[in-house]
Amino acid sequence: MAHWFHRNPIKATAPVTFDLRGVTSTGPTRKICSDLRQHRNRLLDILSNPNENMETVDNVAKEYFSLLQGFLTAVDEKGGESKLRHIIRFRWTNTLTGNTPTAQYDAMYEFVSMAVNVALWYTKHAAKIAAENDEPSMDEAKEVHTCLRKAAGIFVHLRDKCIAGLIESPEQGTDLDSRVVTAYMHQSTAEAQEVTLARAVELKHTASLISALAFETSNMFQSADDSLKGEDERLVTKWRKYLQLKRAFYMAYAYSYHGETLLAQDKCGEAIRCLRESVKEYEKAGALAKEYKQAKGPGTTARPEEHLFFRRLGPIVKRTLEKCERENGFIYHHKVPEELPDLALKATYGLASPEEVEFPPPSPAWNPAVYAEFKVENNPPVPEKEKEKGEGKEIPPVKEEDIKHAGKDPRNNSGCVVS
Amino acid sequence: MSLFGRLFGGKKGEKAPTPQEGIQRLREIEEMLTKKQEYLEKKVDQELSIAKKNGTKNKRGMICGMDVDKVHDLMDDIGEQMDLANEINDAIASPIGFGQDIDQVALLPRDVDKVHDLMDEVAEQQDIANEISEAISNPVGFGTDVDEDELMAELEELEQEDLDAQLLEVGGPVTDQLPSVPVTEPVAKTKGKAQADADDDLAELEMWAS
Repeated sequence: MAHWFHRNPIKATAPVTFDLRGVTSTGPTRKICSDLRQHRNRLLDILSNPNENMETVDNVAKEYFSLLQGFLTAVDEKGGESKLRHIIRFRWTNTLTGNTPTAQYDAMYEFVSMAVNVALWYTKHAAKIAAENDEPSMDEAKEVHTCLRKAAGIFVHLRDKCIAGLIESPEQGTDLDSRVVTAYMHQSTAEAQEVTLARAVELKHTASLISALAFETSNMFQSADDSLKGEDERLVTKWRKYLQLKRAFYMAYAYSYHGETLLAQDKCGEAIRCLRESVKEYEKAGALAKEYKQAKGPGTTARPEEHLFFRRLGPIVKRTLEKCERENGFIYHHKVPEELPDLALKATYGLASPEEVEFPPPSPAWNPAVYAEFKVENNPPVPEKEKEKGEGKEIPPVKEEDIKHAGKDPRNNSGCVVS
Repeated sequence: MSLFGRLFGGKKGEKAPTPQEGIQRLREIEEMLTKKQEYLEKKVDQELSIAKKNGTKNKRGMICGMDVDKVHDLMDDIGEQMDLANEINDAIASPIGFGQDIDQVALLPRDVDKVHDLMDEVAEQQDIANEISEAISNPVGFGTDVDEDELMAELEELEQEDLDAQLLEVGGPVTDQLPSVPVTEPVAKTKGKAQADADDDLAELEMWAS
């Protein structure tokens, strides 16, 4: 689906040497630190490329996180927080707030920030698969769906299990702000649902099921948009326009298929009411697409209104509406109700729910003996000016690899992913 | 002469403009007429069952149901109208060939005349169809100008038919008490085909998504 998904830029970070001079005096402790440095650099490198292989990213991320575990949790009988947790200062930019980093002396902050980047990589990888193929195969569609569910799973895990454990509460508009994380989670879930819906349309499933799926997708985009209410408009306007246009588009879809269901039940008057609503929502989506294009804010600009999947809906709805109006005039003579018929929801949540994520246990390099060899008391004191968060020079944005987009329209009927 | 007049222009000697279009339009109308007939048949069945249920105890319900016979008659007229539509199809499609040669062109005036006659008949039927439409959309109009005694007699006939059918059945008591309305949710076997299809599709998607 060329130009279909909006994506914010990934987070940039200052290099970390893991050079803990007084603290690491033995071979194994120094090895852990140098491995951490190497793995971190390698991970950051591949995360800037959405064309990378999913398995590679998975493996490198697992290795880094398993090494980092020793800085989070004590590797001895007592357990609890690691003595190394606050020893290094990590600096990260945020997806919405440009090049000024926030910094914390907290390995948990490092963990969460890197995990957000991994989740963002999954969403960009999904967008790349969707964009570069005229007609994605079933396997490719499944990969898009899987990536988006994984991303959603990471966001929800971070929000519910990790962010609360940070020492410093997150600033508004940063990626640790739970409203921002929630928005990312809802967006990823909604986009995964889009793939399922596209498949249902391509396979010509029953109209009532498609209507329910579309309604649910629309609601998810609505939830994502709602999460960002109250955030600084300069940061979120563009992103919110994207979420709103998707909400309106899928609402148009839901009403269109609901109208067809009603017509099949000879409820022509209600069908006409639904189809008129569908036309209204479709026009709203078109208008929002224009506003989205012009809105200022971070992120790559998608062009969903140019995609065949979007363009096809308008004429289909208008044709169905004309047919219903003709039949009503000739056969049914129903009054068109003022009130809009309710859309039905089916229990379809399982189709695109966030995938449960498990972060790896500590690497085998960690054991109580090695842990004991880290001498935190030898760490030099932190200079005062470094303790202030948000200070420090800007970090340039990550140079992300481009996603190649397919130029032409798909050849299949619906313009969606093929079964 | 609404739709057909517009379609064919109506001047003698003129070639029927775009017969393909004409055929297409007629097919659409035929489809609509079929749909209308099915819809009216469904309504007839519904009203008949209401009439039987209400019986002689509920006169008003019965009367609304019985007027359905009038609809039956009108529906026969619709059937005729559809036959006419088919005739026009044939009249246009066969003699006025798409690869016309000179002999066939000579046949044109006569066939156009035939088509015009058919069109006039169809226009008449169209008026009847409009009557039906009004009758359906104004059920109140039904109750007032019908002979109630006649209707009562017809209803008693219907009820008698029903009783006779039941007496012939072996076992099972004959009763005019209807079963009480269930208060619980209907079980799976009462699901319509559409619901079952939707459930199958959903199961398929769930399998793919996991």
